[in-house]
Amino acid sequence: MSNVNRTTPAGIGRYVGQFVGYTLFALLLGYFSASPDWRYFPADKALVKLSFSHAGQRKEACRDRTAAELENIPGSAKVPQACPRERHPVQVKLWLNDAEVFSGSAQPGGLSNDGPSTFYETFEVPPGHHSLKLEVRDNGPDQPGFSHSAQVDLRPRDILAIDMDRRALVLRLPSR
Amino acid sequence: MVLGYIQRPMEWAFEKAELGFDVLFGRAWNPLFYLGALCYFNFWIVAASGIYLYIVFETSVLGAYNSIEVITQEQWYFGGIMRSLHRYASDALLLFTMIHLLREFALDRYRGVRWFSWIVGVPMLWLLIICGINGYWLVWDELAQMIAVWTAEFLDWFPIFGEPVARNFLTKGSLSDRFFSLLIFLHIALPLILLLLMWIHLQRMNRAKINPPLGLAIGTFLMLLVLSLVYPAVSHPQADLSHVPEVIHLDWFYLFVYPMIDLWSAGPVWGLLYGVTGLLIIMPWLPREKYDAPAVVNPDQCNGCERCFDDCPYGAVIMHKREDDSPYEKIAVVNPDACAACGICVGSCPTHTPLRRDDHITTGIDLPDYTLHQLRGQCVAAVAGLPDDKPKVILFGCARAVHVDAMGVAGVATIELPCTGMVPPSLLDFMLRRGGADGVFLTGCGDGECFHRLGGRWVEERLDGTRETYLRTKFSKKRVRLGWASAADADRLKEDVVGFRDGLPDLPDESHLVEAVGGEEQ
Repeated sequence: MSNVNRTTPAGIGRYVGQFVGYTLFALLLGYFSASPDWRYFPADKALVKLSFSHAGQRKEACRDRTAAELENIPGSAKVPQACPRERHPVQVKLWLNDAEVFSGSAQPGGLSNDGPSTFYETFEVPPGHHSLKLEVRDNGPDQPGFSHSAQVDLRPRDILAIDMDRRALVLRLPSR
Repeated sequence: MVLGYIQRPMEWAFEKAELGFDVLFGRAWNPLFYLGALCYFNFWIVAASGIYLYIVFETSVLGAYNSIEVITQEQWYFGGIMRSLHRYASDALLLFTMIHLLREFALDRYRGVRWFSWIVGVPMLWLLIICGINGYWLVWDELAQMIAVWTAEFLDWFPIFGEPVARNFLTKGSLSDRFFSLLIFLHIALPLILLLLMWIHLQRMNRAKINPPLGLAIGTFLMLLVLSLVYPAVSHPQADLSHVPEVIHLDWFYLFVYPMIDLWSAGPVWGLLYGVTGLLIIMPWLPREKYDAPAVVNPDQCNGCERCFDDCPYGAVIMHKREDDSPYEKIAVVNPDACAACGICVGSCPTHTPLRRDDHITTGIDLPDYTLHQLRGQCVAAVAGLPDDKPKVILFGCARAVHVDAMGVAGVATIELPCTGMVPPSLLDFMLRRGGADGVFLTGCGDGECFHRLGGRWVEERLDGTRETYLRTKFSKKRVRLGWASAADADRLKEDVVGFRDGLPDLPDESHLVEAVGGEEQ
C-alpha cells in the first residue's frame, strides 16, 4: 500500500508557514480583544438617572370589622380591622430647567398590586447648572401628590441619581 | 432548503481554508481538524491561569481592582502574563468554538445521529459567553461598570424583578463586598458546569479528539504567550458609579451584544438572542436529506468479535450476551437511533473473508440499503466495463469528498460510498485477484477530516496491517494506493489517479496470481 502525499510544507517552510498562521491568529485575537473602541457616552454630556422605589397609597382605607364579620373569622385571624392591600399606581413628572423631560406611571408590584412602584429612567443632559422639579402623585391621578425642587451643577460625565427615601427627595451627586 | 444555500458557500470556503492551513501547518497539524480539541486545550489554559488569579484576587469593592492592578503592573513578568493568558485563551476558546460550530453546520455534521452533540453545544455556547462576561465584571474597572449597568438594564427589560436590577449600580455606595464574593463564586461554578457539558457533548462520539497534536498545542500556547508579552491585557480606569465611562476598549468576542443593546435597545436584542437560540435548537430537525437505513446484524454470521463495536464512530454498536444456540458468547446489536449508516462496521467485519465471486455474501453486519453483496457486484461490473487498452483501476471514494463518479478518467472505474471505511480490505484483494482490476485507489475525506470521524483512520490502519481486519493479499501493495482528498482537492486527486494508473505497467507482472472467473476458490 502506498499513500499519496498531500500538499505539506517540508523543512524550514513548515515553520515559516506556522509562524505566519500563528501571527495572523494572534493579530486577530489581540485586536478584537480590545478594539475597536466603543463610544459609550458622549464626552460633553452628563447623565441624570431617575430611579426610586415608592409605594402608592392604599386604594381603600382600613375599616373596622363588624361583630358579625369577626364571628366568622377563625381565632388566629381575628384582626379587628380589614385593610385591602391594593395600592394606587404612582405617577411621576420630572422637569429640568422648566422643561418636562419625563412623565410616566408605574403600577404597584406584587401579584396583589400591593408592592412599591419602581422607576428607572436615564437622560443625557448638557453639563452646567440645572434646576429640577419632581412631582409625584401616589394617591390616584386626581389627588394632589407632593413635589420637590432642587438646583444642581453637573460636569461632563457626571451621574446625578434622583432617588427617594419615603417621600423625601434624595439627590446623589459625585463628590467634588 | 434555505439552509442548503447557506451551507454550500460556507462548505466551499472551509474547503479552501483547509487547503490553506495544509500549506501553512501541514496536514497533521491542520487546526481546522482539531477545533474541538483546541477548545479543550484553551479551556485548560484558562483554568490553570484562573487558579492563579483566584489566589491573588481580593473579593471586595476596593480590593478587586487593586489586586488585579498589582499583578498587572508590579508582577507583569508572571501575574500579568497569567492575566493575559487568561484573557487571550478565553478569546481563543470562544473563537475556536464559533469556528467549530460554523464548520459543523457547513459540513452538515449537526443532524441525524449528531443532534445530541449539537443540542448540548447550544447551552455550552451561551454559558461560555456568560462566563466571559462574568469574568470582565471581576476587574471592576470602567469596562466592568459599563457591563454591569448595561446587563442590569438589559435584564430589567423583563418586568420580573421587584426592583430594577440597575438600582444596584446607582451610586458608589450601592455595592457591597459580598457582590464580589457572588461574582467569584459564579466565575468558578459556571466554568465547572461548562466542563460538565463539554463532557456530555462527547458522550455519543467514540474516540473523540480532546487533545490537539503536541506540535499544535505547543504552537498555540507559544502564540498566546508571545501575544501576552507583546500586548498584555490591561484594565480600564477604576469603576466609579458617579461618573459615566466615555470610551470603552471592548472585547468584541464576548461583549458583542452590548453595542447591539446600545443601538437597538433591549427588546430587539432579546428577540434576536431568543431567535438565534431557537433556530440552533430546531436545526437538527429541519427538513433534511434522506438518510439510509441503519445497519443490521445477521445473527447467523456474527461471531461476536467486537470489531464493529470498536470501529463504530458513534457508539451505535453494542455487544450483548447471546441467548441462542450459537457457540459464540456475544452478538453485536445496532442502536438504530445512533447509527449513521456509514458502513464502517461493514468494512470491519471479518466474517466474509476472503471474498468469493460466485456466492451470495452474507456478512455479520451490513447496510440494508447498500449491502456488501451489491457493492461487490457493482465493483465487478464497473471494472468489466473498462476498455482493455489501459491498466484497469478501481477508485473508491466517499460521498463527502471529491465526487469520484464525476471524475472521468480513462481506465478508471469509480465507486462512491457513504464512507471509504465501508470497504473491507478483502474486497481490495478480491478486485485484484478476481475482479479484473490492475490497481485499487482509495480516496475520501480521510485522515483527521473524515465526515464519519474515524473512517479514514481505520482504512489507514487496516491497510497498514495495524488494525483488524488487515489487508491480506499476495499482490504487491503498490497496487493499492491511498490518497485522501477533500472536495476542494479534485484536480490534485485526478493527477494522482492518472499517475497511479500509468505507473501500474511498471510493476512486476503478477498475472499468475489472478484467478479465472469460476475457478477454484482459496
